[in-house]
Amino acid sequence: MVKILIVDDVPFIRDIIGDSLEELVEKGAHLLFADNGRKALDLIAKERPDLVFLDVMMPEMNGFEVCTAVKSDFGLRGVRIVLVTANGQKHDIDQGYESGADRYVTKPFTPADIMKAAREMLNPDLLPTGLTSFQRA
Amino acid sequence: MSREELHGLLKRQLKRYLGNSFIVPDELQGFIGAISEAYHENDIDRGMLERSLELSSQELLQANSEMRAVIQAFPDILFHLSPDGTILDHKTGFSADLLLEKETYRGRRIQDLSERDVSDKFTEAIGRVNETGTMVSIEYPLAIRGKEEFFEARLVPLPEGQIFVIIRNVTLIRQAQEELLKFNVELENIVNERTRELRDANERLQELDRLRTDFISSVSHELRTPLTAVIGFTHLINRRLDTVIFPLIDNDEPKVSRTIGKVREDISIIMREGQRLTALINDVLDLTRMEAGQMNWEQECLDLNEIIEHAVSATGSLIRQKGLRLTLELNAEDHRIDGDRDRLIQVMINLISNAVKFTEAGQIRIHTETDGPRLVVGVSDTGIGIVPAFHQRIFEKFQQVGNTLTAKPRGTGLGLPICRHIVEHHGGEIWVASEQDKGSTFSFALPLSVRGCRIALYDSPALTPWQR
Repeated sequence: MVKILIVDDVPFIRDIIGDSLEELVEKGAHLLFADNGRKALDLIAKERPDLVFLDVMMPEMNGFEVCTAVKSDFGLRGVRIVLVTANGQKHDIDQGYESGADRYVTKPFTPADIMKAAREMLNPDLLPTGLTSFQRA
Repeated sequence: MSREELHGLLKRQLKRYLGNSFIVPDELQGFIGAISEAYHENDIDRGMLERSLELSSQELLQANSEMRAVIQAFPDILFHLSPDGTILDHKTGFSADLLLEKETYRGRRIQDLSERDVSDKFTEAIGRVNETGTMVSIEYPLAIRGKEEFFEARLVPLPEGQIFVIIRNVTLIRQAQEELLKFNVELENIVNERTRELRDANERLQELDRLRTDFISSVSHELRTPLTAVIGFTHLINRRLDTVIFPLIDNDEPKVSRTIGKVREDISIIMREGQRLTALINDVLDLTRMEAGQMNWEQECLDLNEIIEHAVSATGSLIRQKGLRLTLELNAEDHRIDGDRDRLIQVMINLISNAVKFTEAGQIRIHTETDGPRLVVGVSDTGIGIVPAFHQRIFEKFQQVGNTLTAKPRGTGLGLPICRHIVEHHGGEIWVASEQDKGSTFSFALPLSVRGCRIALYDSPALTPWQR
């Protein structure tokens, strides 16, 4: 079962990302939610999700810090991280990649952007039938 | 030789020996003549020597007078001392500088003229002159008629242990030095004060800079978050209406059908305007960063043809939607430049998008050529054109062609100012040539790479950095 963690301190952003992944949920994907970086790190360690949609600007622990912590933990090397942020400048993006992010989505985004990122990041073997990355638009 | 021809002195000597009536014997005539000749030559030599001595004396006198005149002109006090400091001779300079009547100096020891501190200095200096045979300088204060004056004495060794002393009143020089020192201290204080003010101002500027950066970051976050709700939820609502709600509704009823159509249209407007608002926010933030000097510019070797092809790929659907014809005439032989790839792609996309926006039929032509050390890129269209009055203004912020009260603006009004900033950052220029109802050509020129750079390879097309 595919596990996807959605991390954002704004509730409706979590809802939009979750609803954007409806197609995967209907086919068995399990969604987890966290509203700050600290909780996200605890959940990642506990649940080992396949994919994390991670906000950058958050209280307690920002997305870059979470990303760095996850990517420096050998046991969590399979967790793919998509940073979701309002700062789309090249140096922000570079900072995201330097902290170990696998992909970047800038706000505002459409549900299609989120699904596209999920398809690209998830192992095709984990994707429900009909949603492999080879078949994306 | 007659007696009269003999030299006077010889004649007197002969007279003393031989008496008044001396006669020079014939056999001695030659000898006596030679002696007389020698006396004459001696007279001539002596005369010449005396003349020479006379001249030398005159020169010496002249030189002496000149030296005396020079010494007299000096305000300094001069003492000629014996090895123990006794004053042998003196020249007293300005009488205002003298402790005693000038006639009373001779025969006194210079060490005995003043108070102990000064005397000790002279004693020590005379000792050093005698010991080293070199000039020694000392400085000392003296109270003269109740007023403290400062003097400098130079003790110069003379032959046989004698010493020549030159004493100069340096009160004014010292006062000037003190004034200068005081002035320097004041100047230093002023400089320190100004430096502190500049540092404070710089810190305030840095603080403002930081606040501005924070502001840009906050504005970016605060505008994009609600916009994410608008765009995200609109797409989700649209999808749910299409996949869940509308299929359940019987739209045979004309009113229901019309309402569904209206709902679809309204949602598409929200989606379109949401995208427009996103573009506006992006433009505002870009321009703010550029104007604040906070843009992080990249600098790499670029192939401008690749940039043009990338921009064409990104705008291809817009061109096709309008049924316009696109022509590429990339004639520049050298198209290597140094710059920021993403920002130059932004310039090309802005210019092509503008051309599409204001052209209803015809073609868009993208052309390049070299112009000396520059590469010139043009985007020409067969659109509505621009009246001359607007040719400069359109590169300023929020300037759009036409009356915005009667015609809705068709962009943010920031695209061209952003293009200008980007091009000018690269050391280039941007301009427009246009004729109303016939079309426009937006051109920009960039300096060609002078270092013959190697071009980095990019996957093409890559519309956004994270898709590389």
